[in-house]
Amino acid sequence: MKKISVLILIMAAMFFIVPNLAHGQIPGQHILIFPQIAFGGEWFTSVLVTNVTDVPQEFTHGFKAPDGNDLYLTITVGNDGRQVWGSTYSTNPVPPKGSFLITLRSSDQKITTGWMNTWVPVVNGKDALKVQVTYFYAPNGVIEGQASVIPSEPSRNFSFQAVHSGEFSDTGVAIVNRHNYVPATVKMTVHNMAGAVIATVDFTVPVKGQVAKFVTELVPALKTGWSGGLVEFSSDQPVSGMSLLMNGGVFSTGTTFQ
Amino acid sequence: MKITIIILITGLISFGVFYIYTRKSEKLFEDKVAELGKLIIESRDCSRVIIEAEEFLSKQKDATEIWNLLGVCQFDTGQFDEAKASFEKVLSLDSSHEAAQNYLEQITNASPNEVFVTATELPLEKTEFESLLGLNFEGVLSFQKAVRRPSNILEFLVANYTSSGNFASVVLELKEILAKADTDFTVSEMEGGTIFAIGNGSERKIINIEKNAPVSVTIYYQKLN
Repeated sequence: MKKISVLILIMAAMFFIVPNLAHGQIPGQHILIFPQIAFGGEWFTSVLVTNVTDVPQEFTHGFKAPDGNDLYLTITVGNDGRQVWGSTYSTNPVPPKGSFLITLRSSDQKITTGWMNTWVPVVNGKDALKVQVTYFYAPNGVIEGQASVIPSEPSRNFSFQAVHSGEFSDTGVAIVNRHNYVPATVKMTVHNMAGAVIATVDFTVPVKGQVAKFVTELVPALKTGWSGGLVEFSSDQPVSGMSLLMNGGVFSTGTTFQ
Repeated sequence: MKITIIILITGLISFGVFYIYTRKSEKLFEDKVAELGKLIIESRDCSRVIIEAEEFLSKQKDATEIWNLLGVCQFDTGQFDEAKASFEKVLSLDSSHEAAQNYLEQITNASPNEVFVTATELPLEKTEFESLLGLNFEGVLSFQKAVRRPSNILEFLVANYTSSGNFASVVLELKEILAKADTDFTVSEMEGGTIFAIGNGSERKIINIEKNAPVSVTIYYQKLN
């Protein structure tokens, strides 16, 4: 009996204290961060989770609002299209070589944005489940644009290439700071095609929060006279970032690199 | 024949003594882990855990879980070098210990200038917080609480305020306070609120104003060097 209580206490110390102190790490799990989700209005987002192993696996997902609070929403899950109340720490099973689909959709005309955490098991040092997030732009129910993204690993420096070819063209960036206690101070440095720095801007990402903006929103002066180029980010804390190239209703995934 | 019986009896007695001794020390170890675990989880009394764990380890140096609990509490109270040594000891006794691996990774993999803080909250008076911050919010914000968190930098302080005013007026009033203090600051406007950041190489102040009702304001003060 005593052995069992000791074991329970040790497990509690590992699972409750360690995640709290060590950036939400859970032993044997890899946390995947998707810095952007969007649904409502003419947008919806799908999350496809695929088990690449030969044994059943489970994953846990959580949705966050830009200010870091939990985002509660109705989601469609599984292959039978069940409507459930989606919240943080929902766990779903995935059969061997099978897939599990979550769709974030809303009849509300207002677009809701946020970000997503997914915990997947690690087997032999590799993620047992692969996760892909796809954004859809579907005015009047007709899909006019879509782009898929893979998770973003936290880093203190990352960059992407931006194209700015006219009034309706822009590059969106989403940055998430998963830290529980420390806000991230981020510097964005924008280069032109000749490589010269033409703008820098500092901004803060709140604890457990997200900043999602267009490059020209962060530096309005770039709306004219900038045709694109290298955009670099450096942060004092590890952050997860992604980019999306937009041209009217057409958009595609940008590639971020370190 | 007699000799064989004597040897057998001696052997049995020795085994019995050894068994009782082992069980006793196992029970002692289990009791200690349970006691320290309770202190951490239920009372969050890490200073007592450190004293008791060190005392226990001076007699029984290979108690892996006690080393781990000692490391957890050293980390939690900001003694990062000591925590590193404890987690290294845990891994020398059990190289697959995941909790120790996680902590050690966080301590050793921190990039230069990366701030890491622990979950411990040490209460701070409003006057002390505002004096360190060099700003006064009297008449604009209502103080809720301020805490100091152990960290790898000189100071990491966080305070929570609220205001019954509307979001736009709070932003404006705080902007005026910063302007009066002759402070250069950056503004990050987001869906959920506005953040003012003031920083140089030695300190950083961050004011996060959230669009709640009442408006909530979280202020961070970080002294880097």
